[in-house]
Amino acid sequence: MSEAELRDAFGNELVDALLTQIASGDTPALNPEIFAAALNLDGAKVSDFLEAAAEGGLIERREELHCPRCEELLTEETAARELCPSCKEAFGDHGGVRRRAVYKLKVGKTRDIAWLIAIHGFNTLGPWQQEFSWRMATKLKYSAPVLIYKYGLIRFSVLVRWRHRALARQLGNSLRTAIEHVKANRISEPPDLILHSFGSQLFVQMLALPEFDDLRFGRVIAAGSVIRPDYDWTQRIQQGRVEAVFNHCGGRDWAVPFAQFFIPETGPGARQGFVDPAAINVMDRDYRHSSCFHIAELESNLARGGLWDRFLRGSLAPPAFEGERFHPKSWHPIWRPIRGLVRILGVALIAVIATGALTFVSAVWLKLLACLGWEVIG
Amino acid sequence: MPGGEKGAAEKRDLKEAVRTIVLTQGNAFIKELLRKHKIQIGTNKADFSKNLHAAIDEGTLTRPMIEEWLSEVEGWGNQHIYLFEPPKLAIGEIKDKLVGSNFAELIGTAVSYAFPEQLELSAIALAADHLSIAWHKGTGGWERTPSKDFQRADDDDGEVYKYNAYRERFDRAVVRFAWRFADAYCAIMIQVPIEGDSHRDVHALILNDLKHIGIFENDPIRIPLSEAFKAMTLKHDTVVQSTRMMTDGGHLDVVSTLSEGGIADVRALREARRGVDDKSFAGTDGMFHFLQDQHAGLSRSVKVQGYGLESRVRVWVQCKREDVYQVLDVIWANT
Repeated sequence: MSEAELRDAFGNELVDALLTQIASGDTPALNPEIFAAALNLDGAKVSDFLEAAAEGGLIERREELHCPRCEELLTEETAARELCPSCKEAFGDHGGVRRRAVYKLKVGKTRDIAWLIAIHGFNTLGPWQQEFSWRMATKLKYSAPVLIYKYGLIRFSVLVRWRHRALARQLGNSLRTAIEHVKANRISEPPDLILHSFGSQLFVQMLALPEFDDLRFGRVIAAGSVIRPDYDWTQRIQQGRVEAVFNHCGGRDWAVPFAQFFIPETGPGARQGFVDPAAINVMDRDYRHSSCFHIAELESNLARGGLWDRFLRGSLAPPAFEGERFHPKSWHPIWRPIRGLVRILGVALIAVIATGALTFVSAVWLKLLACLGWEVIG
Repeated sequence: MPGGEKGAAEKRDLKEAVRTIVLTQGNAFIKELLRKHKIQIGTNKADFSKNLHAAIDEGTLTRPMIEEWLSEVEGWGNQHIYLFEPPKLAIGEIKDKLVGSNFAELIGTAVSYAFPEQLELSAIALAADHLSIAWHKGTGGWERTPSKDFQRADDDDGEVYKYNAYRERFDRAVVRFAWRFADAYCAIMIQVPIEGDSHRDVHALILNDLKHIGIFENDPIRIPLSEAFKAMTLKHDTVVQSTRMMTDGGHLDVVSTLSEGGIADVRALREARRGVDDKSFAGTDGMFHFLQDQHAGLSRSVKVQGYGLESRVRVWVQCKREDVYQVLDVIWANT
């Protein structure tokens, strides 16, 4: 029976529920009684439906053999014997080997979120991190701690490499301490990460520092990322440094295209997407630089079946994200002299603005002092 | 090969050992013995018996071959294993202690052929890296055989009677004290069902003999395994079918009913397990499947039940010495 025929015969509710169950990967086997109870439907109808779905190849029907006395699962070989290998009783004395239908689902391997780290961008203290932490805490019914990592409010220091390295080193040291702490508290899995903007660049810079080669990470979500689109994620995955990468791109993110001109070693990751086929790039045409962290979007992405939920907890084997992900063509940074020139002009402009602002403030301050002086003398 | 009458007697003894000891081992292991020595295999116990007898007659299967195989197979698996802190005794003093005991003549006995009515010390093997002391007890009994049942009308009273058949089974239980000197534990392995105080009596007997030899001065201390089983239920190096976590006033069970797979394959169960504060549950039991494709050295997949508070590990299948130690190594790595 095809899917369309199943819909005709049993209605959309049953078929959709089964497809949702398969897509979720929650369990590799269905118990007809529990499936019927979850849908508040008649058990006999659900059994007929599952039989039909098995005939149509949507699920697989298997017959399991059990000892009638101790319920031990038997192989064909052991079921053909006289005695149960477990309880040593004769099958025949207890009504013979019991047969039970089981419906197997073809599901991928799912995983749990063990704990997370959220890293903000520059020119902000990342108020979204608290909101994200709160959403995760209420979403999961077990404890998955969220480490909110803050490196302070930085603005002009993103322009210089030495400051990047210092911040990356500071990040690595903090993450090492956190990893040791959770291990001592029986969480052995590596953390998943949510990275925003310059936070994503700090993360890959930290990965490049040899002193942190021992740190391992789980699945990484980059939003508004300024990582270069030609970043070699495959290498990091093969090294076991990260498990997988999800790049949430924004069609109206007007900040990241400028990153390569002003912030050393960066690129428009969140506009262009990552070229490396190991990365999962998903584009939302309406997203701006921080749209992912607006409450409605955060809720939608973290909801069951949402993009982030599927990435963090689901199977990434095909067909995961099929029809949603995109594969960008190769990317090359703007010619270095042009980037250099723009950078010099930009820095000069910032310097002029800063000087002007400083002069203006000083003039106002001196004038104020002069007025106060006249008042006192007068 | 010994010749003449002596040789014939040796072959007779070996054939008796085949009937009473070798054929009671698992088919897979008997096949392995036959295959290893290039003896025709067959498909069932009757074939094995015929081929083993023929090989003994031809001299292609000898006592050392059988003993080497038995020492790897008999008494391993289908047993309860208790872990203890190792003896304080210096390794170099063990031999003298054994020689000075009532069991000196058993040193170097790899395999016993006895079927004593009561458990008795019957074999001692001391090597550079381990000490193994075995006790044996005949446990033969009657095994239900429905294929031999029959019904008969009685001529005297005209009633029909049903006769249920039982086949006589030769078997023996092995209890072993095993101490690998490099390990931070030693083990008492018991192939006796845990019914009533049966294991307490076995422990008393063994410890009595071990104290007589001088291996222990006092009762050894059991190593609690609850923490190891807790950790194993959160990892993926075994398939965890179930776990019971105990606290004062109650317990919590997480059980997978999947025939292929365990708690880790069902999201709701995984998350329920994660939701538990381990520190609130002092005792933990669990049912674990050690699969061959996850543990390359295993000769077969091994089903293991762990009882944390009792320091007891139950191995549910017959397996080999190395299989048992591979299982214990995994458990130990989680303590």
